[in-house]
Amino acid sequence: MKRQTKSQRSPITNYQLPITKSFARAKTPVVIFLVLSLNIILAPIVYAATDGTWQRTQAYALGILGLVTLALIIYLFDVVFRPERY
Amino acid sequence: MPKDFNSQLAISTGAQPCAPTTHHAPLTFMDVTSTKPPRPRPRGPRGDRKHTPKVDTKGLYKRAIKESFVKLKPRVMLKNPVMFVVYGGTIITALMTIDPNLFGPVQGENLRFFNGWITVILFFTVVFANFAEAVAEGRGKAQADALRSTKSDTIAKKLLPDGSIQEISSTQLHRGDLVKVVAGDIIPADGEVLAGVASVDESAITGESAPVLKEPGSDVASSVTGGTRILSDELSIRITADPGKGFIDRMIALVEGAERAKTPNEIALTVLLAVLTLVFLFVVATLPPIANYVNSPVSIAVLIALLVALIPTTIGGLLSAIGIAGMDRVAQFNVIATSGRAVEACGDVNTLVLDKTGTITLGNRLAEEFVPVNGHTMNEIARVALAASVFDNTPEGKSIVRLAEKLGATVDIDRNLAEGIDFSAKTRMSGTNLPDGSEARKGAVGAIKGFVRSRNGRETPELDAAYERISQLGGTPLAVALNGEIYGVIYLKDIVKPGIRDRFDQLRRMGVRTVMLTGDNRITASVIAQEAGVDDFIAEATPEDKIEAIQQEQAQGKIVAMTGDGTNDAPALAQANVGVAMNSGTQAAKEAANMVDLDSDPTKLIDIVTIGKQLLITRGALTTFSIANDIAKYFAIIPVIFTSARLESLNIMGLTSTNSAVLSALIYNALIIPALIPLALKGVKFRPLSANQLLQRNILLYGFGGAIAPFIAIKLIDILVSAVGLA
Repeated sequence: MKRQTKSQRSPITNYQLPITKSFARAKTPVVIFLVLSLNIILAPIVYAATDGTWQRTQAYALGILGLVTLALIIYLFDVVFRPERY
Repeated sequence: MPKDFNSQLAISTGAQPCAPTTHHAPLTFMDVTSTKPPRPRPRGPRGDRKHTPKVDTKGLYKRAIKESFVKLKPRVMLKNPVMFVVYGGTIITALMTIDPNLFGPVQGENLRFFNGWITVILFFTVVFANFAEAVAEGRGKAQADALRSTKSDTIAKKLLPDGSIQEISSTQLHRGDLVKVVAGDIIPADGEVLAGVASVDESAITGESAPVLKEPGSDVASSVTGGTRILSDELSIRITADPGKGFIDRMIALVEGAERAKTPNEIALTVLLAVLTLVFLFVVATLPPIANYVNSPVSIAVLIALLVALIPTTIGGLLSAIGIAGMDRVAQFNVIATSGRAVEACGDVNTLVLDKTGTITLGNRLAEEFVPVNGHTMNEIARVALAASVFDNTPEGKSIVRLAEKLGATVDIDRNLAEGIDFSAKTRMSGTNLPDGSEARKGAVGAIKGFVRSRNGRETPELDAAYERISQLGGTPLAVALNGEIYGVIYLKDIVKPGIRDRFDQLRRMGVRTVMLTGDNRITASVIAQEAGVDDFIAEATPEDKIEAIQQEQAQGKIVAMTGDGTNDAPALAQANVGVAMNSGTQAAKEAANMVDLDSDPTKLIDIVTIGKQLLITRGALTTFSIANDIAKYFAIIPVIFTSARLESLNIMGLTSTNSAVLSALIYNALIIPALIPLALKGVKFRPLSANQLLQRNILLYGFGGAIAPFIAIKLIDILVSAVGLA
């Protein structure tokens, strides 16, 4: 018997565009993209809170650092609640 | 005295009554309560045997250094939350080395140099932690290689259903396959003997050079282990393990750490470390506003340094190494554990259920004294006992012969005409049918009474008195009779193993209760129990009693360990929290247990409990030390970073500057990990003290010591750092 191809077996998933498939698979770039996007909102707030001696890049970097710290906190909470995974 | 007695037992000189003959099957008179043949026991001190097979540690550290860098992959680092936070900190400080003002303007001189040093130290903290794990894994791998060397791929002769033989690789054998092995062959896989009798050299796995007899249907001699060599004759074996699923394979996977699942204790400690890390992360992250308020702005690099100094990096770095080293120690003791959980459970054991024979007493009971009854003389009973034992090749039988000869008794029997009567669990006696038709018997008192009655003889109350007296001495009474006449009782003395009382005392101090199980009568059992110093005993025990005893203990919330080797022990081994099966035992027992002792030495259970306790104590001691270290690091860093808040009085170490204080604390933090690797691998020295005494001792040593030692070490490093001009 002729072997079925993947597309023949699941016509619905065949509608997924290749880019969305790889988007769902590659988690790290997605996380980096989301952090940078979120920082676009956060960085101006940080910049506004400084007394004008700061550069934009510094505020932007500090915003990222804040998000990284938040990610670490989420990770540590995950370790606390699901320790058997680590 | 009957007339025929003198004619049969003519006194002669130079007779060899105990020499075995080929005309009669070997007799197996022995334990009146057990039908098991004596288990072959390893000889020589354990210290000589425990490291078989030898572990090759050549190039271990070189490989570990390489491995500690390979482990820097983020995916691997994620498994260790404490070290992952340090890893993240290293990356941030590395960025700040490139641009010190990356996260805002920072005041100070030589910022790049300072940040660079923090980065290097943090990086080495991570590498040292990886190194600790890599060394432990390396030792485990070396142990696994040594284990693997015991099983080489061999050509197996597979028996096909049509009776023909097909030669295939041993790795292609599956559970249920039948194979044939002949003298000189390596047994291809774990299995059960179906047919044949052969001697097998198990030295490759047990280190014991004496060959072991294997035969089908026997409780203790029917299972064979892959990798052992058959020395004589041939065997048909049914394979009981799929390729890669044998005991050795399971142990290899475990000591290599490849399939190492975290034990409940490790999981609990991981949660504690993650919570502590979280708390300090919150503290450090919320510190800048306070620092700014008191006009002492703190740079991100110093905050990261403070965070790393406060989180429990020491235990975080050594945690997995301690676990792997614990498994390694068990493997070195020639015990195969099927899970880390089992080794850890050993440390929590409250009750040990031990068989009397072979564990508490020496396997062989020896004749100590003859007690004549019915008006017979010592010489007469000695001669009848000797006559009843001439064909008895068991250690007990031989000891009776020795004692009788010592008393001057000898017999002159034509061995070709006499017939040896085998011991059986049903008759509970053995003896000799003499050429003239007389029957000399020895055996359990009740059995001999029945024998005498059946020959129209008479019982005597003297016999019961002698029986009771011997039982009260902790011995086994064996009645001796010739035809219908009872001659007396042989006192078989059970010899309690030397030093076993001390070991039970140690266990009691550790809070472990010992329960002795025996098939002996109550009086004998109580005497032996008292002599050996066990806490409790179960006399006239059946295998079902074992399960009941274990369930009773478990119902009280206790953790129970036991040893066993027979198929009837399997349910109890499965029921116990720690079940140690003997390698000489049946496949069923080995599968039900969570540990297999390759040396088949039941006393090893006590050593395994010690290893388990040592594992838990080491973990606890290093956790205490790691957390106690925080005090000194706190006192080192906090006063110098809040200079404008006038916290100088807290700078009790008199550290030179902010930079030198931070660097000293971090250098100490990094160096303490490799410094403690030997302790993590070797384990804290175990002392048989009670839980409270151990706690007090360890809190004093590792808690108090852990609080004081860093003060001295950080001060010394500070002097050194200032002297070389690092800060």
